[in-house]
Order: sequence, then C-alpha cells, then structure tokens
Amino acid sequence: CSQSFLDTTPEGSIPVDNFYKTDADAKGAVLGVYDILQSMYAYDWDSMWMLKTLLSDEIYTGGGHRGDQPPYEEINEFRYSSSNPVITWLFQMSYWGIYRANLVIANIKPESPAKKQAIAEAKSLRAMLYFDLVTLWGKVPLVTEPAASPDQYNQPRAAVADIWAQIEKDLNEAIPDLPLKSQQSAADKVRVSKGMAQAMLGKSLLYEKKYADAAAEFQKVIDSGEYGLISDYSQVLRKGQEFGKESLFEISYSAEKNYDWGNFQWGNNGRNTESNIHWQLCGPRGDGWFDGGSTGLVAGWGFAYPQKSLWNAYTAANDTVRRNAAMISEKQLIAKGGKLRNPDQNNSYPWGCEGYIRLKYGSWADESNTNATSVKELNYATNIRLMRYADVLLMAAEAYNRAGDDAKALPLINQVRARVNLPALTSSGDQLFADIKNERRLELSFEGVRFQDLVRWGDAKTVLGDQGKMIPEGTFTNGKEDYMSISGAGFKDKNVLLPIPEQEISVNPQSSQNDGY
Amino acid sequence: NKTTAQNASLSLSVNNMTVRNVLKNIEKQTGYSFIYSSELIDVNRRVSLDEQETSLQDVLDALFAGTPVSYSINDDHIVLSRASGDATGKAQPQGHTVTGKVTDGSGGPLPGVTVVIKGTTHGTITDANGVYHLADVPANTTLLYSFVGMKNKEIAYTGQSAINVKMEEETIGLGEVVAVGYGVQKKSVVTGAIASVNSSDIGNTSVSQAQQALQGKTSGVQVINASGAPGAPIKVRIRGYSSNNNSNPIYIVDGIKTTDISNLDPDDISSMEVLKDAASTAIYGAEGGNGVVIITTKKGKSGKPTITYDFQYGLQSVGHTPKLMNTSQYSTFMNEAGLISNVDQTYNTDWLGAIFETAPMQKHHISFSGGKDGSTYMLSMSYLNQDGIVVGPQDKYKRYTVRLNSDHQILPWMKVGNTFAYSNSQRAAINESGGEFGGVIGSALMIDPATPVEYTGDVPAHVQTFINNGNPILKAPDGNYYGISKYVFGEIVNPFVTQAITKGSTQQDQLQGNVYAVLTPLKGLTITSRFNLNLTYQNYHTWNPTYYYTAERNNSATKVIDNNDLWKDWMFENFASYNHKFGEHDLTLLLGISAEKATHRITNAQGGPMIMENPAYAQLDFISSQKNDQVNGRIDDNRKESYFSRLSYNYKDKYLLEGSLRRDGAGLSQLPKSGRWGIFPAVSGGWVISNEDFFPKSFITNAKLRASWGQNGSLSNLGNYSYASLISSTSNGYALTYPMADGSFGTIFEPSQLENPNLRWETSVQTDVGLDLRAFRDRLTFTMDYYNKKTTDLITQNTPALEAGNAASPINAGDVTNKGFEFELGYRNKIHDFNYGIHLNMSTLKNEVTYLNPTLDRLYGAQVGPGWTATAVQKGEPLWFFYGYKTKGIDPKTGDPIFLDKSGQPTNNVTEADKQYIGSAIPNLYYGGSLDASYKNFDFNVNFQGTSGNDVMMGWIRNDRPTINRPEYFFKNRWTADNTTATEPRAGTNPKAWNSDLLVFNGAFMRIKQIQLGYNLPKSLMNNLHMKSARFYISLDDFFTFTNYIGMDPEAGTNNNNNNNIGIDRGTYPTARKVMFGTSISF
Repeated sequence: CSQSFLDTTPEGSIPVDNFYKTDADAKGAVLGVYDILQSMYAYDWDSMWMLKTLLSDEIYTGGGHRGDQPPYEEINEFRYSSSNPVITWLFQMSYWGIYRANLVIANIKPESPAKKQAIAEAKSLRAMLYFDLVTLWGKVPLVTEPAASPDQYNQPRAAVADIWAQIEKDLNEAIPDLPLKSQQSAADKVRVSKGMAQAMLGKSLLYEKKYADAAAEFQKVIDSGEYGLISDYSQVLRKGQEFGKESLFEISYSAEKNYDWGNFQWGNNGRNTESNIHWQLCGPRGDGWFDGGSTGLVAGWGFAYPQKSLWNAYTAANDTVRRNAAMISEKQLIAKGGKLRNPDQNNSYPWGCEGYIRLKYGSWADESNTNATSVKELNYATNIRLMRYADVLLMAAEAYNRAGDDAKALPLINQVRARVNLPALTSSGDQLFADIKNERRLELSFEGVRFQDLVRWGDAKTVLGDQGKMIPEGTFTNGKEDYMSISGAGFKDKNVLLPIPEQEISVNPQSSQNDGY
Repeated sequence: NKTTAQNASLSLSVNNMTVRNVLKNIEKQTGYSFIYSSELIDVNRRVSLDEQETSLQDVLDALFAGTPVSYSINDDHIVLSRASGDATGKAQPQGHTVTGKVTDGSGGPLPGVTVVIKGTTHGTITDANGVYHLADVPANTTLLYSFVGMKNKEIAYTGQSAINVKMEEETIGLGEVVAVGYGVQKKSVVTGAIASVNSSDIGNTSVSQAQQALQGKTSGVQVINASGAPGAPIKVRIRGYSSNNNSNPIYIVDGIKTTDISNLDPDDISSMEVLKDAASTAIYGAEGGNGVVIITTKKGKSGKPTITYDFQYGLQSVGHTPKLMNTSQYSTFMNEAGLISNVDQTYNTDWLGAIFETAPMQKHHISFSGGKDGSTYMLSMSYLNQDGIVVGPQDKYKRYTVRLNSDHQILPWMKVGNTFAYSNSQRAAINESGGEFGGVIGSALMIDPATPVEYTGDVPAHVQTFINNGNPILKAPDGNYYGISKYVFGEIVNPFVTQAITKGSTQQDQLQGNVYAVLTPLKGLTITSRFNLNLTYQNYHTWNPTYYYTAERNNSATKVIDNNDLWKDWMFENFASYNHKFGEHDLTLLLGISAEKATHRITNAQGGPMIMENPAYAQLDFISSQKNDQVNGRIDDNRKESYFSRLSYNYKDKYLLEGSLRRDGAGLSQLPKSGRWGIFPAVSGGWVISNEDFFPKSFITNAKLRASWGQNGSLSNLGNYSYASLISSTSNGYALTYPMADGSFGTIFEPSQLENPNLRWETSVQTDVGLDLRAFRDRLTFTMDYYNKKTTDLITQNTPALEAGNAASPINAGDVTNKGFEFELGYRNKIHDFNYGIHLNMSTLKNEVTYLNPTLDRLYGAQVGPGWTATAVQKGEPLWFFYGYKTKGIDPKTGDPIFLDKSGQPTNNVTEADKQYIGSAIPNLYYGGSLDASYKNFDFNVNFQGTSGNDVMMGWIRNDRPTINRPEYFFKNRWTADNTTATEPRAGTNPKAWNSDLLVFNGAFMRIKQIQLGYNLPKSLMNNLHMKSARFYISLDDFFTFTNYIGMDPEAGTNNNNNNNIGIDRGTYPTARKVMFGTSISF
C-alpha cells in the first residue's frame, strides 16, 4: 500500500488555510458571528433575553410548576451560583461569537469593500459581546486574537478599563467602513450598520459615564435621518415592523424551516436552529389555563409572566397606551373571549402568574409559520431587537441631561412620550434624570435593558432588593392570591455582577471569582 | 456419542446367525467397533439370541457364554480376547508371541490396555497386572497400545520377545487447539491469557445473540445486558473498562473484523476465544486495546452428510419490578409535599403491571454439512422471532440468517474456501432511549397512579377541554380515550400513548464473508491470502402520527422518515507462517500485511404531511407537498494499513517464548499525519514445569507458568477528522444558515472546532502472569491470572477555558488502570453412568483513573434529568463514578437529608462544589459458574452469573419534576413528624436530595442464567428413525435473580456504547425471564 491510501480528504469542508480568501468567504464567516447571537438569545432554556429580563423587576419565571426550570428560577430570585448553567453557557457563547469575530479580523485582508465591511462588522459584534460581558460579569478575559495553540486557551481576566478601551477602539475603527442602513440591501439589513455601531459606541460611552462624548455619538445617529419612531407603539416589536425605521439592530429568526417535533434542531448549541423556540417557552400556560380568545396569542409553556408592579407603574404614569401594548389583564383577556383560570385546578391562575399576560414579545400566532400543517410552537420567528430608535433617543436624552444640557435632552424624551399620547415633560436636572429612568422602564419594558440600567444607575439594590422573595403560586386562599416565600431571594451587593462560571475557574488557573461568590 | 452409547441398551433378536454377523449388528447399533483376532475367536460359530432393551454387557455375556472369550469395552471399541489361562492352542501361531507389561507414567501396572497390530484387528488386552501376551505377531509390524486417558503408543516389532511399554497420560484438553490471531495454536503451548467457549456451551441456551453465550462462562469477561429489549446491542467488557468511551472488544469472525455480531446465529458458532492479555491481542495492534473475541463458525467434515435441526420456543415475562406508590400513598405524599392538595383517587393504576405482557419467542436452525474428495461444506439457515415483553407490537426482533462455509483442497498445495453469511433482521423498539425524558418504561415509573391507562367512565374535565378544542386525543383500541395526567407534566406521557405513536422499525440486510486461498508450497510454510467483505444496508423507517397529549407533548403534522445507512467495509490480508523444527527446537514465524477501508454512507430523508394519516401513505411518495422535505447525507471513510509479525519458539514443549510486533497506520479521517503510525509490541513466555525432569510425580499432571507483556491501541473513539479544524457550512447534517432580512438564508461558514494536531492513539500496556494446572488425570483444571492493564492517552473530550471560543478537538488526557485476579476452576468426573462437571470462575477488578490532564479537573459524563451531570472521571476514582451530593442520614428535625461538604462535614449550604464520589457502577468482583450432569439419557445443567461491589443509580427520579411517582420505598421510609428517625427524606424535600447518594443503591446481583433438563432419545430408537441423536429439553432462563436493588433490573445501564452511562437506570428495559422448550435433532 502506498502512503496515499491513508490520505483521505474530508468532504464538505474546507481546510482553514484555503478559506478566508473571497468576499463570499468574508460574508459567510461574519454571518457565523450573528448565528451565535441568534443562539444566545433564544436557544433552549439558556436565553440571554431571559437572563436579562429575569434579573429585572419585570417578570416572574413561571413554568409548569415550581422547579420547572430551576436555573431560571435561581436567576429571577438572585439565588444563582457560579454553576448556574444559563450563566455559564452565555458566558461561554459570548466567547464563541468573539472567537469567530477574531477569526474574521485576523484572517481577512481588507482588500475589497466587502471585506472591509466584514471586518468592521466583526469588530462591532465583538464590541457588542464585550459590552454585555463587561457590564454583566465585569473583569473578563480580553481575547482579541484566535488562540493559535492549546496553551493560549487560558487567558487572564482583563481590567474593566481595558475592556472598555477595546470596545471603543473596535467601534471607532468599524464605523468608517460600515454602510448606512439605507445603503444596505434588503437582505443585508440584518447586518450591523453604521448607525448601530454609532449607537453602540454612544451606549458604551454612556455606561462609562463619558456623557458628552456619548451624546455626540447619539446625535450622529439622530442626525443621520436614517431612523424614526413608528406611530403605533404596539407594533414596535411586531413582525410587520421588522427592520423598519425604528429598528437599528435585530437578531433574526425564521418560521420557514417548518420545524416539527421530529426535526426540531435541539442541541448543537442551537446553531442549527433558526426559529425562536423561547417564544414557545414564554407563551402563557395552556393545559386548561390560558385561552387567547381573539388576542392572537398561542398558549405555550408558561414562562415569563409580567409582574403586577409593572402594570401598576404604567397606571401610575397614566400610560395606558404602552401598558395595553405591553401586557393584558385577566379582565381584558376575558373581554376578548379568552381566559386565564383553570376550572379543574380550583380556578387558579397558572403557576407564577399574577393575573397578567405579556403582549410585548408575545407568542403571536401570526409570527409563527402560518401554514396550517406547520407546528406553531416550534416556528416562532419574532426577531429580538437589540437596539431601537426610542432607546437611542432616551439614551441621548440621558447623556445630555447628565452632561448638563437639559435643553437638548427634553425634546428627545418628549418625542418618545408624544407617540404614546403623554404630555411633554418640562423637568430638569435630577428630576429630569428620574423621569428619564422611569421613561426607560415604561418604554423599554421586556426588552432586556432594565437590569443593566438599574446597575449602572446604582439603583439595583433599591429596586430589586425584594425581587424573587414572593412568587405567585397562581392559587387563591379566601380570594387572595397565594405567594410562595423564597428564602435567600432578593438582590444583594454581590449581584451587581454575575459570577464567573465555576467551569471557567476550575479549568483556568488564571481566573478568579467576583466578590461575594 | 460414545458416552451415550456406553449407556445405551440394545435389542437383538437373531436366530442361527454367525457371531461375526452378530458383532456387526452390535457395531451398527452402538457405534462401537470390535477388535479381535479371528485366529483366537471363533466368529463363525452360530448363535440364537433374543435380548430386548438389554445392556451391552449383558448382550456380550450372553453371546460368549460358555466360550473362553473375554471382552473389554474401551473408548470406542471393544476388544475380544481369550480369557487368560486358556490355552487350547486351537490355531497354530504363524508368528511370534510377544509378551510384556504396560505401565503408567509412575510405573504402576495398567490393566485393560489394548494392544493390536496396527492396521489389523488382531490384538489383546492387558490383564490385571498390566501383562499381555499377543500371539502370532509377524515381523516388521507395528504394535499399537491404546488406553483411555493415555497417549497412544506405537512400537515397531522387529523380533523382540518382550516389549514393556510405559504409557504417558494424555492431557486431553491440552491437545486441543485454540484460535489465536492469524492462526491456531496448541493449547499446551499457548503463552497468553485466552479463554475458550465452544459450541456445546453455546448450544441449547436461549441466547439470541452470541455475546450472551459468554456471560458468566469465563473469567475476565463481563457481558452487560444494557437493555433486555429484543435485539438490543450487548456490551462486552474484557478485563475492565479500559476507555472512557466505547470499550467494546473487536470480533474476528472467521478472520472478518467486525464490531457487531448481532447477526450471527449462535448455533453457527463452533468456538469463541476471548483474547484477554496484551500478548494475545497485540497482533491486532491498534484495535486490540479492548480485547479481541475470535469466533470460528462451524465447518463441514469429510464423511457422511449431517443434518441437524434445532428448535426453541419460549415464553418471556417480566421478572422483578419495583413497587411504586399507589394512589392513596401518592396522594398522601403529594399532600405532605405541599404540591397537590387533593389527588383525585378515582383510579389506582399499576403502570408496571399494565405495560408488561408475556411474549413468545422462537428460533429454528437447520444445518447441512459434510464433504468428500477434499471439499467440505456447511450450509445453515436460521430464523429467530422474538416479541418483547412490553405490550404492543413496538418491540419485536426478527432475524433470518443463511451461512455457507466451504473448503476445497484443489491441489495438494492449495486450498481455497469461503465463508459467506447473509442475514436480514427487523427490529422494532419501544421508546427506551427517552429514559427519564419520556421513555416508555421511564414514564411508567414516573407517571402518577391516579391517571388511568384509559378512561372507562366519563372523561374528566381537563381532557374534555382538549377534546372540545379539537385536539387529536388518542384512543385505546377499545375506543376509550387514553388517560392524560393532571399531575405529572413535561416529557412524561402515558406510556400507552407513547407506544401508540411509535411506528418505526429498523431493517438490516447484511452480507458478511470472505474468500481465501491457503498455499502450502513447502513443508512448514503456509501462505494465506484472504479478502473480507462486510456489506450492511440498514433502513429505519417511521412515520409520525398526529396526537395531542398536553401543550408540551403533541404533534400536529404527520411526517414520513427514512434513514438509510450503507456500510461497506473491506479488508485484504496476506500473511505467511513458516514452521521449522530442528532437534528439540520448534520455531514458527508469521509475517503479514493488511489494508482495510470502511465506508459508511448516510442518507436521511423526511417529508410531510402525508396525504392521509394512514399507514398506507407512510412513504415519501405519498406526501401532500414537498415543502417540508428534508434530506441530508454524507459518507465517512476510515482506512488502515498494517504490518504484523510474530515469532514463536518452543523448546521441548517445556520452554515457550513468543514475540509479536505490529505497525498500524490510520487514515487521515482518524488521526493527523504526524501521529498516525503506531507500533505495538508484545512478548510472552511460558514454562511447562510439569515437563521438567525434576517435577515430582504427583496428582498434578500438568503445570504451566505464563507471563506476558504487550501494547495495544484503540481507534474506536476516533473518526471524522475529530482532530482537525475545518471550515464547514453544515452541522449535524443541516445547513448552517442565517435568516436574512428579505426572507432568504445566508450561508454561514464556521470553524468546526479548535484543532489538536497532537492527537495520537490510545495505548494500553498490559502485563499478565498466569498459572495453568491440571490434576487428577485432567479431571481438575485450574487457571489463575493476575493482570495489570494501563491505558494511557485516553481520548477525552476537551473542555478548554470558556474564552477559547469553540468546541475543542479531543485530547489525550488521561490514564486508567484495570487490574485484578482471575480464577477458573473446573472439575469433571464420572461415576458409572453419572457424568458431572463443575466450572467456577471469578474475577476481581480494580479500576482507577491514575492520571488526568491537569487542565481538566474532571471530565463530565452523563446527564440525569436536566442539569445533573451524574457521572465523572477524576484522578484517583474509578472511571465514570457517580457524582453528586453526599448525604449522611436524615435530619430528624427537618426531614431533609444532611448534606456533607467536600471534606465530609455536614453543611447547611451545600453547593455545586460539594458534589463528589457517591458510588461506582464498576464491580470489584464478578463471577459465574455452571454445573452440568448427565445420567443415562438425561442431562441437567445450571449456570449462574453475578457481580458484587457495584452500585446502580436510580436515574429516573428527576429533581425538576416534584410530582412524579416514586417507589413505595421512598414513601414507607420517609421522614414524617411521627417518624423522625427515617432513612429517606420527607415528601417535598430539598430537590438536591434527588441529585444525591439517596438514589444510589447496591447493584450486586446473582442471576441463575439457566436451569435446564434434557433428555436424549435412546440410540436404538434413533437407529430405527435413522437419526444420529435427538435431544429434548426444557429450561428456565434468567428466571431467578437475587438482588437488593429496588428498581427495575440491577443489570441496568443506559443503552448506548458510551461508558459514561454505566449503571444508570433510567427505566431500563428489564431482562425477561424465559421458560424455554427446545429440541435438537441430527441425522
């Protein structure tokens, strides 16, 4: 036998040395980073959207019963440990995205506009991933090149300032090479545009409390004329407004894969999955409880019910437009021919439900595959908005306010309020700051920004101190809702940061743990 | 069968017949031949006899009554001689008379030795003093001395008047040959540790798969019925667990290498040899690391054609099942737990009682064999049909096999031949792999007893709601709706519903065979050229019906699925063996090369919905649109080339030495270029002490000391470029895409993993020291071995730091050591017509991970329920030990378990970091034994097998489903305010209790594999029916199991090849008890 008998060649794959050459290679490689984001936000039971939302005062975990998804319950009640699988997986997947971005940046030569654009996108995406890492975990390894050999797998934790510096550098380098949203083709609107990178840079500067610089970046987005607010607030997160004028960046999902219970792509880190399975998890519990009536909502597995306190916050602000767009009460539901109580279970609400159902990011029948033979539960296609124009306006207002320029701040926040028929504000200084905070809560509910906002404002302990201590059980005693008391729940000082995953600490001797874990 | 013949009675009714013809008649009836000298015996004498059903002795006594003839019945012949003292001198001697004395090895006289002139029937036997007189011996003839238990001896007669003969005891067993890699060796000169199981051990058992025949039969071999489902694969572990992944041995069937012998009918097997030590397996180099099983199938013999027919029929039923809480207990438990205040007690379902049934199995096997003019053939066919013990047609195994083995000596120096086996099997299986996530048995264990199998009365409101909503709720065949649980959710479904939606079956067609030529151009030189082919086509076909059980378990669209696999493996081997004897030296050299290619083509297709929801439309042609079509496919291509050699040296059958060397190269799909060649050496030696002059004469007839050392590799955990980083746009057979904003999909290119260019072979190094003894004229056999097997460079999944950013290639990261003692003891004897044999074997095992790459503090294995990684590999512990919380009793105050931290101290705040060793599924002792006995036409055998020192994890109790049912054990022994000294926690305890040692039980068990009683038809009857033999038997197989485990089956283990699941009972399919009836007839 000759040596060549053993020299088989792999089919369907390309050796690394032969790749990263063409414009198509560059696009395919950078789409691989988006794919990781897509996994991170909706993959089975480890969602970044859930993590960020559970950490807030917006939702209860819910589920079929207590203990349905213990890792989510731990997060919602601030009882998580360093071995929480959701926290571990999201930390890990952030670096999967960064690794792919690093490969693009290291291997693609900026020889054509398409390649330059791919590199710029990779840098923007890397910055977005580091933004969540540094704000949620603090000091994390700063990896900017793909590991060349196993001895480079372990990296030390970098200083927070160095991570912020890298984020700013990446975004500043990316912005010139990125197209305006209007310059992107219809298909390419899933990709990072110049406006998104500028908004992300503004947001980073805002978190770094570099208010004037932040305001300047946001102003560029506003001045670009690329974006605006749509008139109907209830549609901002709906399918019809995807990639619309209010949208800066979305993670894209598809209903076109026609998944059923036999071919759904469980596992594999969700890289094969194109639909948003989390919307099924977070649909209101059926099984005798929820019936959507004419709302258009499909029953799901009962996670992420809204908290009554949020309903009350809307009501207190006289904000009925956004309240009715964000959630629906049992009374409203019955009026639409639906129901929330289960006659077989003592007329209880579903577990974890306080009598309200979420409409924002709801389990809309028309956002799944509408084909009659398609399995609705597995084909939700709702995109997750990571940045929309209202958020930019409010962040810009905040930056101006903090920089002392309330005159520039007020029109921006009032633009957001005007859409939902709320009177213009005239406050200033710290009062305006407080108004902006509340405005963000009401405008951006369920959109995964609340926890990071509270932490950067220093309000987390005040607002979240009792979070998770009392969990609605759905049942009633003498007409009063029963609550399960959870010991050890509530935000504590250490919770300003998530723990570094146990797995990272045990594998990487250069790692260390955040305070308090 | 001589033993039988000796016991046989015969019938003889003759009138005035010559003695010569009477003797012929007896020969015909009994199979004995007579040896006599017509000079001494008057065979022309005419006699009349009427003997019915009389023993052979009585017939002979009657025949020779009043004559000076005496007789002696020997092994297969009867010697007639003149009674001593008689010297009528009737015939004139034509040669000389030879006298002499025959003695045994120790000089004692040997009476009854047959002495004949070779090539004639002229002979005599020795008297009580070992003395013989043989008259009339022509010169230049050869005298043949024979005696049972002694080696035949030939002496040339050249005129000596006295010939004294010392006979040597024949060590019958040692004269046998055993198969070794690329050849056979006399057992007496084997220096490795090889265990043999032959056809008589295999026949008559109710085994449907050949590996089962090894169970309990030999030391060092653990056969694990991971699942009792019909046709389920069987795990074999030789000398422990030498890899963290797959550690199945390889099988060499008539030279054909395979990892799967499920299509081999056990009745076709002539012998199975288990090569246990490295010296025996090293000739298989890179693939011998987990042991080698050599299987030789039956061949034809020259002579009269033989037809055998075997038939078995059996009834299978479930054995021990755990006792679960009934509805009233469940209600109390859930109420105490604060989970369900009022359980509806209308129904009280015994789910385990409901899902099992008595199931038949049958097997037919017929074979034709024979040969003449240098050609032999063996043609066999078999049919197996086994229904499983779970209700419904979803578990069924059917297998047809055909085999043709033939050999042709076409030239004096050339033989050609073939083995050829075709099989077809169809296997339907219940959802078992779902385990605690909706497996049929798992669900039967977990679903509450308050839910009925089906609603015999009114449908409750929650189900009525579903029906009103137009959901397709499934009905039982009698028209009632199946029960839907109100209390247990998630994946746990009424097992009858799961059965009703299980439609698939796997069909496999396999062609396995080889052609070969054996050339013997020179004395001592044998050249073999062999081409092996293994062609397997497998189709899994199923369809998904629509149904609704709950929001979490339903299906609204029908679909058809066809998964096709085509394996095509060929191997071309050429090897030469040269044997040379000079003086007392005996040298054999083997040299060989081989090349092999194994391809696996996968094509999967699915589509739906079906035009109509009807099995008649369950084909891909009959779907209503192509919109949901999905296809994927690929081909895997593994290759290997090898060079091997072995030198065996034997001095006077006393000093034995052997060395082998193999060099293997793996294809690029398995190992990178830099590390793909491996060299695997071995040496072994033997010293037959009993052949030394100084060895004292004693009851010990043979004693051999053996020692060996060698290296092996294992490739079984490599494949598909697992070391390389490749850019791919698919994953798991699906395109990697990203949904673009216009509805199109963008193609993604992603790096498959972080590469590991340093990946190399898993290597095991094994030393073995052994002792073989035979005593009391070989009635007693004893073998003992000590082995120490260290596998280094274990190929493990790499778990790099999380910031590495991708899955990593496997790395060589650990060492595991298996060591232990093996003992085998056999005793066989006969007392008159009573033959019996006892065989006992026992193996100790110490398994320990001795090294783990410091970058991995442990490897994590199987998940139990969601979120509990329940097995791990860690330095200093056995492979894949159970990993969880350790408890120390129940806190009398709270009813919660007292958790211990890593240092063994009670803690109120037990965390993930406190998880530790809580048990191991690897036994430290396993054993087996058998007793067989026969008396006249009856035979009886019992055999058993067991393990001790192993644990079982009750893996179906999920901590995230608090309302699941549990064994009654957890109810009766639970803590309550009135029972504060309980052994089990309170209802509704801390969920961490269900990730702890509270689920770990002693898994020791002893199983009576078989109790069998057989009856052989008498020879006389068979002669009339023109049969050679006929045997009928009844047996109880796997009928009695002794264990303290409260779960399903202590032999439980999740049904897959990975070692990381061993000992986890997720609702395993239990081994069925069987009542068997069978017959075996040969013509």
